[in-house]
Amino acid sequence: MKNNVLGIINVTQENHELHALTARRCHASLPYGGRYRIIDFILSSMVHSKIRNIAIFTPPNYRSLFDHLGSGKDWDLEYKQEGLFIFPKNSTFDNRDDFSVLNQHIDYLEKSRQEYVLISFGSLVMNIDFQPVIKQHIQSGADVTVVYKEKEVHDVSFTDITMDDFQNITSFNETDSPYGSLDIFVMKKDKFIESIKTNANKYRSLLDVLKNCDLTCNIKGYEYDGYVQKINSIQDYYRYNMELLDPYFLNEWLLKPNEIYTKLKDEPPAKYSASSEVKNAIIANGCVVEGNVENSILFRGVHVKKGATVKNSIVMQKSQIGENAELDGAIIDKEVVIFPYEHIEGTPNNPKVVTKQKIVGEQII
Amino acid sequence: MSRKEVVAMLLAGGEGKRLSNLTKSVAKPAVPFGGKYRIIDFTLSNCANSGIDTVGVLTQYEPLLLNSYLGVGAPWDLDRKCGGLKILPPYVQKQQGGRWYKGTANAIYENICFIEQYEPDYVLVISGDHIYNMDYSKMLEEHEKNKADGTISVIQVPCQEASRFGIMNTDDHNRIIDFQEKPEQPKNNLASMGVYVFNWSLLKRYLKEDEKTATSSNDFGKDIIPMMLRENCSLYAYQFEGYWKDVGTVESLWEANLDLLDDDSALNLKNSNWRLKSVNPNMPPQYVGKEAKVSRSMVNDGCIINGSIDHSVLFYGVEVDVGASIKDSVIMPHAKIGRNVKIERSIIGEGAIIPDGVTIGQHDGPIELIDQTSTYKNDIPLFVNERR
Repeated sequence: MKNNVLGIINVTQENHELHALTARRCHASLPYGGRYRIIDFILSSMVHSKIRNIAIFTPPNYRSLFDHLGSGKDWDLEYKQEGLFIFPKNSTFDNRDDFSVLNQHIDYLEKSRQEYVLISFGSLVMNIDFQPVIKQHIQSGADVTVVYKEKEVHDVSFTDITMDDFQNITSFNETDSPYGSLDIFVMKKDKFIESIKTNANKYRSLLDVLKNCDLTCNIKGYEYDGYVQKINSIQDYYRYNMELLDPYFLNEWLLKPNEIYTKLKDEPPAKYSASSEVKNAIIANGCVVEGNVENSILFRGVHVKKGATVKNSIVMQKSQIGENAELDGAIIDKEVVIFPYEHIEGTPNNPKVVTKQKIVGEQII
Repeated sequence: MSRKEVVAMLLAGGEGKRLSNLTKSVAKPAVPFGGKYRIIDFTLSNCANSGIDTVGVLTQYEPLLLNSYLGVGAPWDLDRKCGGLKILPPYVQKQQGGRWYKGTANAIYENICFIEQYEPDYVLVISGDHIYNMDYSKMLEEHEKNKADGTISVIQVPCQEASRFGIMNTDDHNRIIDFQEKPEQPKNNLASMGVYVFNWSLLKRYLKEDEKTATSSNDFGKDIIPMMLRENCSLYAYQFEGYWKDVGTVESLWEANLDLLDDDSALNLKNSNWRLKSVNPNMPPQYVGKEAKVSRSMVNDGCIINGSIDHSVLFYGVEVDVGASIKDSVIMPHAKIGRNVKIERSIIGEGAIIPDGVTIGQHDGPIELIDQTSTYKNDIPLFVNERR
């Protein structure tokens, strides 16, 4: 049964900490886990939760995200009516905030037939079933339902919330609260539209509205107790990717409760040569491994040539690691060429980033 | 309906009897190949990459899996507004009752109406049983240049194997003067690849003629080509150079899979200008564990490798447990290989569950095929029917 919910993913806010990796793409299209992009997680979660009308609001550098999503077919979102809608932020409104972007496309929201909206501000890496969230929202009669989690030590970037004994959220401003908001909200679509129209010039975001809303507005929390990653810095990016080397994540979390969809490609299976040595690695299709790979992640179409060593590193799509080159603690962006005998070294706390399409070293003739 | 210059007719009804239990419930074109593909992906990709967008796929034997694999042809970009991929099973005709296609020529004859709607100049007849990358547009060019009535693609085979094939004898201009089906004393080594281009108006005439002949086996190689030669049609040979294999037996299927592992394999799967297209299930990337060893192999998405793999091809979602070793073998999708299992020179069927400690195949033995009926030491089943 289809449900009565419109999905909105607002990824217009950019993060400057990640600039080395997001200079030529948006945060939502950051490559992740050998073959995914960050957006795949929230998008697949919505699709599996039977949401089939989904709007994505993108920042101005949306090219890679457009390329990735295409018609939405690979997420099963290609419908004659509804399906996937992408609304790029016009670069001339660069410094405007969430609400002004949503306000620009208010026609879409008004035209949509669904009664409820599920809005995700930002794109978290998580595999969540939204159906219980929606169910709780409808049953509780709350005006707004906010998905939250119990914070762990490193979860510093979540907005703190406090609640009473009945999961009613009493404050968004508290510091040192044990709970953090995942910035995922469910509410009636009409209320959402009204809130955009009345607050577009007053507040920057829905969170701002909720922070300042009067007590007649009933905001309930929904606890998500699953695994979630919020990638805010290069260290986060490195650490969270590396966590996937625990087979639990690869086999359980990426497939359960539902598989994470991504763009499908006709890459052949990975090929290993007689000289390859591989230990504890995630390797995507289209890779050719002739050298050593250890504790690392290779995205689709990476070529590790003879004698090369890739250790504790992340190598993105179609990059080439030359003969006898050595990588340790590196993040190699897409389509990079590392010439033979080059050394690139970083640490988990300070991984060395080689930016997209860079050519490192000189050809030894 | 807009006109098409060429319509491809892909024969995919092959039973593949010599493939033993691998084709017990699937047609030969749907047999898995190369770690990720099914055999028919080669011909469909050839069509797509050659710019042929109208393909009739003639199915008959065990079409269930094949039909669902083909769908509307989207994985090969063959879901087109006009033309595209169409599945053509045998059908029941008014007052004639229903029956299977009597032979390759009859299969085309029964679908004359399908071809006629596109008013093509040429019909390309191909088979979904072969492994090769070929640009059909070059063959068509050659056919036009020769002003031929028909063109047959040929490949040089080793002389000692020539008697297994249909052999073409040609003059200096590649015109076919004589054709021998599986000759005992072959006159040369140019073997037919079962790839034909015909002028449609002429072929239609011969198909109708052949259908009237009660004694005919309604086969291109046995009936249509000899008849055309008898009546002095201008048939030309088009010599193909590259990898071509008919994977008709368990041994040749095994061999063709392992051919892909050669560093200088003539069959290039990585050519981005000639992508081999297929249905891509969505699986996580493969994981190679701390105690694993992988060399000279092809491994697909969704595999979890904790044992050692040498000179083997692993399909989607294969799990290899600690201490297991796999050598010179082909492991089909979702097989689970238990602890300390030893596998050599084998094909392990889709979804097999090999219990801990089992040994399959020998260094110098025949190719072992593990399928749903296989047991170990006569009592341990090697297959639990648990398809995902």
